[in-house]
Amino acid sequence: METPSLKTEPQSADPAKPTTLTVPGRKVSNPVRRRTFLQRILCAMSGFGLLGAFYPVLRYIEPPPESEGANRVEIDAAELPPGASRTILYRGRPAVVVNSAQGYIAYGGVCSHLGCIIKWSPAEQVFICPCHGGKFNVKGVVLGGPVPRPLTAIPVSVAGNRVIVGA
Amino acid sequence: MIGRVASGIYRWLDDRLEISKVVDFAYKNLTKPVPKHVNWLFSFGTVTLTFFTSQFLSGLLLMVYYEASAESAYDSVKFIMEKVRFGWLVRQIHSYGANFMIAFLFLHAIRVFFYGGYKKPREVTWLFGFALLAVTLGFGFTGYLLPWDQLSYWGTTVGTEIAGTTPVIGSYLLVLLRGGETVSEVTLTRFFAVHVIVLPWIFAGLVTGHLFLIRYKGISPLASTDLPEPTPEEIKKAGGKAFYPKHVLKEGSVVLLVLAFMLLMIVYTPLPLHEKADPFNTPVGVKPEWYFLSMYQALKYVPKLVGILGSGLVILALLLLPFWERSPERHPARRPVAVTLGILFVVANIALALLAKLSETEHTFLGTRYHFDTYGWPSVVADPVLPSATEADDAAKPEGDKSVDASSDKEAESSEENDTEETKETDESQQEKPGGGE
Repeated sequence: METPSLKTEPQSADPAKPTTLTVPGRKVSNPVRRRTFLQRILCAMSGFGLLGAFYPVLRYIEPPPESEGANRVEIDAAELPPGASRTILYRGRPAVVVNSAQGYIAYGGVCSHLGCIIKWSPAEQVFICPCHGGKFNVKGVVLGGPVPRPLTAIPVSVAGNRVIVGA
Repeated sequence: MIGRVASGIYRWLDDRLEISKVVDFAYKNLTKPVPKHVNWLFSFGTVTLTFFTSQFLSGLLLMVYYEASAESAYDSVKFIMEKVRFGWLVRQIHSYGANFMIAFLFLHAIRVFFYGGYKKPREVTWLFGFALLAVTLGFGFTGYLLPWDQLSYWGTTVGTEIAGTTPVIGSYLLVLLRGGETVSEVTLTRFFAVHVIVLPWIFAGLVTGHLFLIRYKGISPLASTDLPEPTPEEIKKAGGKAFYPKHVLKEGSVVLLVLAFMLLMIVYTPLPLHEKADPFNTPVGVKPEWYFLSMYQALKYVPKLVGILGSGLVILALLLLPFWERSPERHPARRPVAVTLGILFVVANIALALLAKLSETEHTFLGTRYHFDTYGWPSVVADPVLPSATEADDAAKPEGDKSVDASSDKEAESSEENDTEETKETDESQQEKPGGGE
């Protein structure tokens, strides 16, 4: 039995191999030999097998489902006197809740510029990004700085003495 | 199309780096013929290597979520198994893979012994292989602790205790291994460091040497060492087949079969994660992992010092096997004494391991209930359901209570008790099987 070549030499390198083959009705030049064909099938199957093994690996390194964090956070209203703010974890990311003059408001705390966490400035009644001077008003609208997008609002409701962030 | 691009890149690289020299050399080695007697038994080494690769990859994945601290190790493993997608699979592949890797390493070593593969000029290959065995057992021993469950904690306590009985350096070794008087977080972090950094590097070096020597000297012939080693042409003429693709295909098939078998075991009998480690409460029936069982059992029959020295001598004898077993014959049929001794050695190890497994348990055979004492000897249990009045008056408590009762205020007492005396079990299912290790 011959040893198949690993090299990518053209098949005609082997003088013993036919370069043309007559199939009933037509002539085929440089036909794919059975061994080569089987090798290709084997390679393809191994390749698909390996690709299949990647699927669990990719799923494994994705964030696990439960690590995305609570999508409903309750805060004791006493902890949030008028003018005060709190940074909480909401759906796995920081969010800022403020007891503002307009009532309770909550925004995703991540600045849309480069991912720093915004702070509430009670004196100015604005959100300030400490990194590059981004500024947002109580409606989350950009007032200044290099910020591309406004803040994402999070629904807030009050039930008794509990402030509920999220739906 | 792909072929043309590939050969274009190849030519481009060859123009600059002359990689064809390396490729030709690799190709020549890859297609080197293996002797005619090489059968599927010769794929155990490759299976072991495959498991090592799998251990490396699955271990890497486990490290993504694993936390090496007494506080969170257990919870992080639980998190991997319960919360992370496919985490159960990764952890099972790692735990089962460890067992399979050691099993196939043993089979590989046994195969080499019976085919005389360790003889001249392949003594160094044997030494490398032996070192690989030691490192692999080290992997098993250090990895076993990492899930930080009851079994791994107490298995490590007993294991390090045995190491502590080594003459002269025993007590020093014990403290060095544990990083203190008892198995604690210090032990966990040092075992982790050894498991994921130290041993993998040593293993990589050793396995490179081992594989190089195998390719360099070729597979051992079956002829006497007095005869010159056959050249590749002679091997081919005698009916030898190319390593690639003939033997590679054979090995690939065995690897796939073994992997499929492991997956079946993972799905049908997954290895459990036991209760979180409790340093104040020894569970019933703590035994080492199966690959340490025969040594563990052998140590019971002889005084500690004799046992430790004896097993040390056996290990040394195996390490130096090519240097004292110097008969020139390789063929098993022409080495009756060596082969008989080899079979006896394997059988004795299996028997000891079985005795260890049976020891301190109760089983029913043909309607009769037997209790197996610490030496593994059976005795008929008179009335397994209702203990007689005299038995109840005995100092020994009913064993079912023992595991439950061992509360933290009695911990010192009960842990000692359970370690040393024969602890019966009323139900086989109560015995926590070793094997939850990494």
